Amino acid sequence: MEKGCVCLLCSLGCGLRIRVENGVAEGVEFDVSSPVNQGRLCARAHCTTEFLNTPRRLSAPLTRADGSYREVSWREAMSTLAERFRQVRARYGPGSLAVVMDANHTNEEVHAARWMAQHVLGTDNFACRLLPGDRGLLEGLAQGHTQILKTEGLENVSCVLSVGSPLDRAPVLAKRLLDARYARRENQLLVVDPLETTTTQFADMHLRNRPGSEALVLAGMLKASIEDGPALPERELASFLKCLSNEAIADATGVPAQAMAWAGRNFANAEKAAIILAPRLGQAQAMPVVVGLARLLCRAAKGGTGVLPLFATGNAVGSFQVAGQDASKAFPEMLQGAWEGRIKAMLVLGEGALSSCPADRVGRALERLAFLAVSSAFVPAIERTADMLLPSALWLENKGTVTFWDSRNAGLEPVLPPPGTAVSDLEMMGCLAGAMGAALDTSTPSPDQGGAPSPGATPPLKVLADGLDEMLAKGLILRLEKGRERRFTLAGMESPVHSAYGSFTQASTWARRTLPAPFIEVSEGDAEGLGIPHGEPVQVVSRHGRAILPLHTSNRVPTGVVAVPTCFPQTAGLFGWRGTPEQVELVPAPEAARISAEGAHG
Amino acid sequence: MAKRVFLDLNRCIGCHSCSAACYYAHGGNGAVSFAPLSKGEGIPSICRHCEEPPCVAACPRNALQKRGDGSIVRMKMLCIGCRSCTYACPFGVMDADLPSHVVSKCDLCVSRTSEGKEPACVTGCPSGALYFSEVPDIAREYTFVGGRVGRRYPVARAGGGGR
Repeated sequence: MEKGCVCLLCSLGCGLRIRVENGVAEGVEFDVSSPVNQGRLCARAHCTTEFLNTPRRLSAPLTRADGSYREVSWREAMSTLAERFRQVRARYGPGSLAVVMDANHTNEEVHAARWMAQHVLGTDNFACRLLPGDRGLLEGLAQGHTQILKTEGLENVSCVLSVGSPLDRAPVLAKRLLDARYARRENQLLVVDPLETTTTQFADMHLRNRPGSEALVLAGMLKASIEDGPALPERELASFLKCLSNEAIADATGVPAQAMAWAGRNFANAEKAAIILAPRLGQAQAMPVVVGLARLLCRAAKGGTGVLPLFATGNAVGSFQVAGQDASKAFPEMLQGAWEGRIKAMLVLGEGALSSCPADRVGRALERLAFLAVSSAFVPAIERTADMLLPSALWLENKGTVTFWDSRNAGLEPVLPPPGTAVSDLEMMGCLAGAMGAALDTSTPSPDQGGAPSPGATPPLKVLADGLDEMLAKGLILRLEKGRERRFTLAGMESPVHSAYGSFTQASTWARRTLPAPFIEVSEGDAEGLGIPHGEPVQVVSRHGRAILPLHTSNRVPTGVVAVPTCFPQTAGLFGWRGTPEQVELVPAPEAARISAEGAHG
Repeated sequence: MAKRVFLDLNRCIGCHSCSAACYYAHGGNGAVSFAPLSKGEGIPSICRHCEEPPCVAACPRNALQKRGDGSIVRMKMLCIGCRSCTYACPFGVMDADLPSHVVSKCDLCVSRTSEGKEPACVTGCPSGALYFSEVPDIAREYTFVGGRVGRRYPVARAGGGGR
C-alpha cells in the first residue's frame, strides 16, 4: 500500500509516497503529481525508509539508574518526570525549569510546548532552536514585506541571483533553475558564495566574496543598480549607499568593484529577476541585512519578482512564527543558564535541538543539570547525560500542520504507526500536563502568531544602514592577521547527501557510505604552506570547539578559508550558536596531541 | 527500439540522488556508482548496455546475458563474484566493491518498466539530467561539437560558466 506524505528534511516540502506493508515502511516511491517537485527527489529523501526503521530508534521510555537505562512504562515515566519537575520547582523556583525544542515539530507541538512551559511548568524558559542561517533569514523576512517566490515563479526568469548554494541545499530546485538558465542564450545565473559549489558550476558570474561579506556584495550591486535605474523610495539608504566607496566595498569583500557593478546592472535590467537565499553556517549573522538588501534589489530591478528563501530544517517557518522571535533566539541563554546553574531541569524535544552543538561545551553544560529528559525519535548523541529518554514519533507517524517557506500550510497525516510505544510529542506533553495536574492547550495556532516584529523594534532601514556601517567599520570580514599563518576563516559547506543536522541521514547505510565522516578542506596553496599533505589529520580550533579531522585539499576553497561540512555534529559545533564567521587555527594533529598532553601536565 | 538511460552532462549537478534511488530500489545493491572527476565531485556512471558487451564475453559462468531487447542482465544465482566483468567494462561502470561480493548490475529497473514507469534513477533525478528514451531520439537531440557530444542548448559557451 502506498501513502502520500511530505518530506521535512528541508523546508521545500517535496511530496513523496511511502510503500507500507503491515505497518512497516518498505520503500520510497515518487509522487509525480506533487506540484513542488513533480516526483523528483534528492538523495536525502530516499533515506526515509531507513531512518524510519533504524535500530537506533527508541521504542519505549527509558530511565537511567546507576549508569544504565531501564525500560519503564509510560505511566511510570510521566509520573517520575512530573515528580522531578515538581521537586526542582519547589526547591529552586519555576525559573529553574526549561523546555527546548528543534524545528522539526508540527505547529501544534510548538504551540503546546510553549503553552506548557508557561502555564503548566510556570517558566519563561522556552527556546525553539533554529539553525543560525534559518533564524537570520526569518528575522530578515519578518522586518518588512518581502515578495516570496514560489518554485513555479522560477519559470521564465531571465536572471537569478543566488546567495549560498541552493543546489546543495535543495537539489530538487535544479530542474526549474536550469530550465530557466537554458531557456535563452542571454539568461543568467549570478552566484555570491566564497566557495565553489554545485551552483557555481552553472553560474555565469561567480562573485567569490570573503566568508560573511554577502551583505556588502549585495550593497555593491544595489549601488550599481540604482545609479542608472529607478530611484529608491528610501532616500536615506540611497544617500548612504552613495557615501560608500566602491573601493571600500571591494576591499572588504574581495570582489572586484567592476564585477559587482556588472552583476548589479545585469540584475537590474533583466526582464524577470529573482533572488534565491540559502544561507549556510558562517553566513548567518548578516542575514537580516542580506534579506533587506535583497528586497531592495528586487524593487530597484526592472523585472524584480521576489525572493525564494531556502531553509535547512523542515518546519523552520512554522516554528519561528508560532514560537516567536524571542524563543527562537533563547537557546544559547538556556545553555548558559544550565552552565551557570540557574536552570536545573530541562525537557528537550527532538534530538536536533542538541545534536549539532559543540559536543564538549554543551555536554558539560548539560551534565550540570539536576535532571534532563530528552524526547527523541533516535537514541540521541547526548545519551549518557540524559536521565530519561522518551520515544517520540517522526512526522511520518504524526498528525498536525507544518508551514513551508511560501507560507503554505501542509496537513500531516500518519502514514504508519510509530515503533513500539512511541507517541507524538503532543500526546506526551498532554500526559505530562495531566500528571502535573493541568490540561494542555492543543489547539491549532494561527500561523502568523508571534512572527511579527515587536513594537519597539528598530525600523528595517536603520537595521540595514547600521549593519553595513558596522561591517565596514569593524572589518567583520575577517582579514588574515599578518604573522599568524595558521589563522583561517571558517566557512560552512553543505552536502546534498546529508540532512541539516545529519541525524536523520546518519541512519542510512547508503549516506554513511557516500559521505562517511567529516573532513576539512583548504586550498592546495594553503595546505602546502601548512606542510600538511592531503588526508593527514589536523586539529581545528575555534572559539567554540575543536575537532581533529582529516585534511582535504581542493580548488573549491579560496586561500585563507577553511571549509567544513556542517552536517556532522563534530563540525557544526565549530561555528558556535550565532553562526558568525569564525577564525580558526589549524594545528597538525601529532603536534596537537603533544599540546594537549602538555596542557594536561601543566 | 529499446529504451536506454542517458545522462545530460549540461544538467548533472552531481547530487548523488540517482545513486540513492538505485540503492533503495534494488534492496541495497545499487548499480549507479559515482565516477570521481575531481576531489569531492563526480558524475553518475550508468551501464550503457553495449551492443557488443565485453562484460558478457568476460563472464566465465554466463551470469551476464544479453536479453532480447538488447539489455544486459546478471543472473544472480550464477554469479560467483569473480569480478571479471569489472575489469572488462570499458566504462568502469561495474562496481566490484560490494558487501555481498556479487557484482551489482543495472537491470534498467525491469520491475518498474514492466509497470510502465521509468527507472528509479530517471524519475527521481532532481535536475532532469537523466532521461529514458530511445537511441534515435537521443541522437536527434544531440549534436557533435568538435568531437564531443553536446546537447543543443542555446548557451553562450565562451567566457560563461556552465559545463
